[in-house]
Amino acid sequence: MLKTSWICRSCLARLARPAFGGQVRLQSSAAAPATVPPALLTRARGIALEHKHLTEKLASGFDTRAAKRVGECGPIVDALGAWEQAHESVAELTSLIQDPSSDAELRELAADDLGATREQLQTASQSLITSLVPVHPFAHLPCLLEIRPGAGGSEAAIFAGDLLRMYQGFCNRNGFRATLLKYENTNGTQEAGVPLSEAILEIDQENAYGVFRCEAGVHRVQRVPATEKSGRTHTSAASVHVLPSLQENSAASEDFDNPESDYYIDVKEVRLEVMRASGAGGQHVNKTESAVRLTHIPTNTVVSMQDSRSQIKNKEKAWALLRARIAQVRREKREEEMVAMRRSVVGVAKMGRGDKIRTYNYGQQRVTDHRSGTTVLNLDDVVAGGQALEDIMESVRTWLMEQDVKALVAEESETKK
Amino acid sequence: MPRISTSALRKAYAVDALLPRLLPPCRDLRAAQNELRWLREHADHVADARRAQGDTVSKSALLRDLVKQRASGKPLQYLLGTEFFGDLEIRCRPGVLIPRQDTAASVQHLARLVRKAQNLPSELRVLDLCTGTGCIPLLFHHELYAARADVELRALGIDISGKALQLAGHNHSRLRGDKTLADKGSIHYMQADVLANPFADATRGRGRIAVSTALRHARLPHIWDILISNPPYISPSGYWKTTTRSVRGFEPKLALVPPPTAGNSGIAQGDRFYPPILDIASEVEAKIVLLEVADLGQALRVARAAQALRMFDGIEIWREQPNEPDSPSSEVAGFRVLGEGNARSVICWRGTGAAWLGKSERAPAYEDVAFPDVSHRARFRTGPVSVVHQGEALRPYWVKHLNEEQKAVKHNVWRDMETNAARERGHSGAPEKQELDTTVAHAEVLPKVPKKRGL
Repeated sequence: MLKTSWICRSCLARLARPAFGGQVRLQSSAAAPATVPPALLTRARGIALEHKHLTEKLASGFDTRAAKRVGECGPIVDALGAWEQAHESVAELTSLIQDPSSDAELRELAADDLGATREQLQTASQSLITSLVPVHPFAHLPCLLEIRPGAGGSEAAIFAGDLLRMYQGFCNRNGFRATLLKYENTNGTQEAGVPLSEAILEIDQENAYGVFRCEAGVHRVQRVPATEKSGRTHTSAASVHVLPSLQENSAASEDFDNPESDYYIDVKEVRLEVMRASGAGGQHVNKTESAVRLTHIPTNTVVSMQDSRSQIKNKEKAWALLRARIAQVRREKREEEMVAMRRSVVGVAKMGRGDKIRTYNYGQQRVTDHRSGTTVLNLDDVVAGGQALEDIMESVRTWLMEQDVKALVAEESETKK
Repeated sequence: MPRISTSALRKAYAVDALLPRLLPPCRDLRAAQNELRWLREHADHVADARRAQGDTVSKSALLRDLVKQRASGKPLQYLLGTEFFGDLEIRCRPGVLIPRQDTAASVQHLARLVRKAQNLPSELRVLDLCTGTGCIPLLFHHELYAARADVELRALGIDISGKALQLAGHNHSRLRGDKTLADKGSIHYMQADVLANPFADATRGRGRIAVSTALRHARLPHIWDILISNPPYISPSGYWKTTTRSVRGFEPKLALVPPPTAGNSGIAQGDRFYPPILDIASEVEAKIVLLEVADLGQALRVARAAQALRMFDGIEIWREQPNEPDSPSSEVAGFRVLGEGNARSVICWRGTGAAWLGKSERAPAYEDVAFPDVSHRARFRTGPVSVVHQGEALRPYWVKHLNEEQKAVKHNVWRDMETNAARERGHSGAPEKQELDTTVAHAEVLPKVPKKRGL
């Protein structure tokens, strides 16, 4: 029987926790495991098999799509090969050591080798996992960075300005070409030094979207604002949107022969119909019919053209129109995807202080990223866009990839069932 | 032809007051609308041009007049003055046959095959018999120079009609003038008669000179690489049954129906141009011969005649659209038939012509036809004439014939040649002969189409 009649709830909760060891991190950025999840391994083997079939197919005849797919699968197949080799040698060495019949000198040599081979296996599995994670479809594109103040009034606006300078500093340091597309302060002018209300920074650099993708979200700041008179610490937030900038490659996308382009249409997928004179034809009739009809079979898009008296001109016009229509459909689809992505990046409702991705605490001179759990105690360097910021971003990218791997494994085991 | 329904006329009237008048020649509301649009554009254009010269002319009156003429059946191409032939806009005038789309498709396909060839001679010679508006040499020139610059094209168009030659020359200078045609190669037009006997007295009058004689007189080469022809090929019965009113009423019969000869009527009259053209092909040593025909029956007759000459390494029949990718091909009576629609032309090749067309597989060549030996002509002639020919094969063609006594050569010996060839192959000539006869009989047995009353 306890002497006290009651124990407060927080103390009880305290008892449940271990006395030592501090907090347990549930989200972890611990070193990557040496083993590849079996689900991923089967997926990699499946891809390798597909790659083999496609290569055989390509040997007999060229096909743009197959060639593209082979190019995509190539790194995975290579990584799988390297992993299998390393895995095999580790198994061999282990069996050599454990085999009582092998002689002592050999066993020693094997034990020496095992360490290096294990390391090799780890690198191989790491690269296999990395290669399996699908690259974001827009990762290679330049991007737009939009910064807006969130909750917190003018302090949030001041912090938004700090963030803008932070990213500009980061771009300068890394040699990215950044252009300020829009800058508006709270007075509605473009004067600097006044709290920011909206800024759009265009980073015109290949892979910029891949680099800045992890920056999208709510950035929280905890400090004593410049506007505060009685010295209290405030918590405010600013939001960052990151969007791939697509208009840059529009010139390349008008190339009809490029399968990547919106305007590309496979000739085999189009049925051509011309109005033919019924009956004898030839010298027997002098027809004036010149109408041409094209049908794009996969999308069932029909274009008919009868403007000109020349059938050839009608055909050219019909092709141009069909290309434009298909490209329009493709563009709309992509824009829809963009809108969906934009919503998923930061929803209007998610602009509060709660759903932060990163905290900048000036009082403790620290920056913590809530996704990867990294904390950097060099706030000044981060805010200046220095190496510390680079480290945080790198940790988030690693975390994103781990998430992708988890999703992949889950998806793979789902399909297995 | 079925009467146009009142509802269709009413519908057309609701769209445009002039449209019902265009329905009888067009038969179809959509086609009539297109024609009306083109006529209106033409009327606007003409009126603007005349006004610029200070003339006062009403656009609507002009358009009404055009529609009235079109309603009477006059071809749209004669009214507008041009027709599109492949990429080219060719001028048309009454008295000269309007170029046909099907011809353009065949010529374009041939030119596109030839321009891909690796081993073309430095001077490519193209001969077009019965050239009309001169459209075939012009289109061939245009297509060839669109992809090649290393070949010098020498094209010659031959026609019997002075009107046609005048128009062909006009078309040529016009297309050269507006830079549609590349400033390379040469195109000429010349008057000659394909049917004329090369051995007859040539002084009787202009226009009756045989092709070989005309070539010699003009000091033109007597060897040509490619021979193309769209000769008159409609039989008299076909002329009344299958041609449309606007063709019968407004286009020259000279360009449509071969002239009659004694004891030669019906289908044989429709085929009359092909034997002399094949003779000319062998005289000029053509490596590729492209002949337009009316239908599959005529195509087969022409192909058999060409085969019987034992001159060609391969013979193919092209339908209306031979140029479409993966167009279907089939085999009819031993000949490969390419494309879709009606059979439209017969193509024959020999020697290097096979490589120019991209035909790698060589048909079994006749061992006795050694190019440029022309002695095969002699083999099928019976009687003492063939004896004269033998051993003289390598001498120029006309020298050989000048030695002969000038006697009329009947061009319809080709049917005999065919039976001879069949006999040589080990069959009796009877089956083929019979087949020919059945086609004739079939045509004659066709139910008589009752004559239309009124319009």
